[in-house]
Amino acid sequence: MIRRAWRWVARTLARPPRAAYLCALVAVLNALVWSIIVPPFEVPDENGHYAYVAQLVQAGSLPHYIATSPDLSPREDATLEVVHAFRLPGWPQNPAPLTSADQHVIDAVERQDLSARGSGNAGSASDNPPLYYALEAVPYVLSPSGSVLDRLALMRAFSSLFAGVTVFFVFMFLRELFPGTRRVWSVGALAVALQPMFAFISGGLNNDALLYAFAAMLFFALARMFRRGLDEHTGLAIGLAIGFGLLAKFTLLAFAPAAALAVLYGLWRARRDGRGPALRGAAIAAALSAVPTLLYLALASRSVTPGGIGAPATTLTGAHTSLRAEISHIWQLFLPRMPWMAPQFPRSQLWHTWFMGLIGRFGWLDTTFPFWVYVLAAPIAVALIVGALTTLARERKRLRRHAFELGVYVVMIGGLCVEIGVESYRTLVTSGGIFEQPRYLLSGLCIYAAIVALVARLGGRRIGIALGTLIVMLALAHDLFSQLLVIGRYYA
Amino acid sequence: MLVLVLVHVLAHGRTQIASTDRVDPLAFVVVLTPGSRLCQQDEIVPSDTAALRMTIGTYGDPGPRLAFAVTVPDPAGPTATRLLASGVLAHGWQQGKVRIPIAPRVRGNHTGATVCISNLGATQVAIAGSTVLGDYGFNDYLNGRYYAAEVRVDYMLPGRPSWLEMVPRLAYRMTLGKGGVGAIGWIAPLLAMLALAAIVVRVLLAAERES
Repeated sequence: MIRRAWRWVARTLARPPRAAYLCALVAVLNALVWSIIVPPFEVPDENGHYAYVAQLVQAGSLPHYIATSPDLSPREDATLEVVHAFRLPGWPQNPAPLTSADQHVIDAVERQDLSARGSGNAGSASDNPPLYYALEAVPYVLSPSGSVLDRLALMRAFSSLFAGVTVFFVFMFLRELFPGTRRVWSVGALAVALQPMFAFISGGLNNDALLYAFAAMLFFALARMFRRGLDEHTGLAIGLAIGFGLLAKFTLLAFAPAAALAVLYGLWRARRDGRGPALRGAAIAAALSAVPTLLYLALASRSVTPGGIGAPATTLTGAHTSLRAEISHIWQLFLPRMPWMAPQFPRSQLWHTWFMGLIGRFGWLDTTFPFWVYVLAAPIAVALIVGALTTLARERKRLRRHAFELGVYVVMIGGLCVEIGVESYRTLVTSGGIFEQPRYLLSGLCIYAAIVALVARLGGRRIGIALGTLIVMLALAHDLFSQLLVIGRYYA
Repeated sequence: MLVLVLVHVLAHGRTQIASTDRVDPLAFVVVLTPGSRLCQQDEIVPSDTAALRMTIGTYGDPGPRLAFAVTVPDPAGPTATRLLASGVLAHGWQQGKVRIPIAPRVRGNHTGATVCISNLGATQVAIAGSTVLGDYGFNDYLNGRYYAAEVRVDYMLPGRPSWLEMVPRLAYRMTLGKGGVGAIGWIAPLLAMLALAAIVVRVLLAAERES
């Protein structure tokens, strides 16, 4: 069974065209560039993610959230201080270190033999599952110096590799979706590889990078199942993506209901061809989806590896909540407010949080383009969506054959929105804080790539090629100007 | 068109900072009455500073005459100081973010510097900063007595350099505060983006050939 599965994986990985690897390489290079230009600890929650890995390596245990003390390790805290990590967020007029005098202060701290062992606190990262951090422990240990900045740079570079994995699976997803139009696979995958927010997060130390990779793998596995049927191999791919994706970040749970629906559909479709392989595939998918997380939860709660799953930041004890308000909150987080709904937000979240955020809101959400850039981007985004819908309308016969599959993708994105909405509402009623960030939508990058690919299918070969090239050039320009924006913000 | 936009942006000049003390200008934290003097110690004054920039309020009136002095410890003695640069704002300036030219232009970085502001006019002014005590590590003295606040001081480069003129400086700044990777702080991203662009073109050409 394992040998067969390995043969399937090897066959799957051996078959992709060279372009899949080249698109993945573009994603890795782009994330690497972002990893170098963004100053240390200016990717959201990077201080906590670093502390999580340090805790795993230095103490051999999982971290636990300590609300009363923000201290991490003496070495990390001293470094955070001298690189001005907390004086930059929220103050775009505060730059990163600019002079050799600043560098001397940093060098002096790095020369001190401060303890790398922390309090056990990893801040906002404390409650995360451990897979990403266990992988990041490798560059942490392999770093030739014990310097926090060296380790962080190496860990960021390692994280950039996940951007390549994500784009590889995006390419494979598009290949399953549009088997007859090779050129759109590259166009869609490159649009993702050059998406600045994706590269910014993947080039930082953040477990979202691994989440995106498993999310893309899940989309690919489901698309493959819809075309080739449910069997042991597709079941294995679905199970691996969900099981290990959950160990990267629990956010992947948003896709589980839709994936379960897809597997049930696979079982139903297999009724004529014999259910044996399909049943085995479903069993493998279910087992692999659940076992890693259950094992982690059991180990963490039994304190075999002490810590983890600390006090959840969003328990609703004592908070005033209402289901009606929560539904309204989730709706308004993504869609325009209906007349009968009480306002949940002071402004349109679709525009301010999601659209503007995905066009560019870097650093700790404080580095933005001038407003006219977002205004300029809006008609381009609308044109892309209209273009994609036009292609869908033109190909409605084919679409009808894949209606259930399309429905599954819609449920996946819907699940993600509901999950973000629930967390947003809970954060609001418990602490008055704001949870939502544009990066949370990037688990659905495959759908973004599919929209781009649909546009590139418009108007036959010649126009399609021109459109595809134009989209990729726009994506490259968007990426480049985003990098210049970040350089201007931190170094000027 | 993209190139034209880029050239226009790069050639456009604007005031640029040499560095800053990064004190958040949360509120007006010091009121400087006529004849008062505020000194903020332990500043790092960067090389090439030709002006200071501070947020100063005048309560709507024309700004009074203010004198600024930057001093640094003198090797001659433990308490000795020497004047590094100074400047004056003549009566009549407008409140807001105020640029104060100082001379001579600062050569080399200076740690442990003190920035002093004296109100030589007839009306009071307020200076923006923070009152989160000791948050930024500066010590302030108002008329010689310890004062629990820190003010924001930006150190400005001379003139209005264009982005193009700033490129070498930005490239250098990109190498700071990044550990070992600092050595490749600007060259690696540049080379990686060139390689990336080449791969993108190659993939697109291959896709065109195959379709």
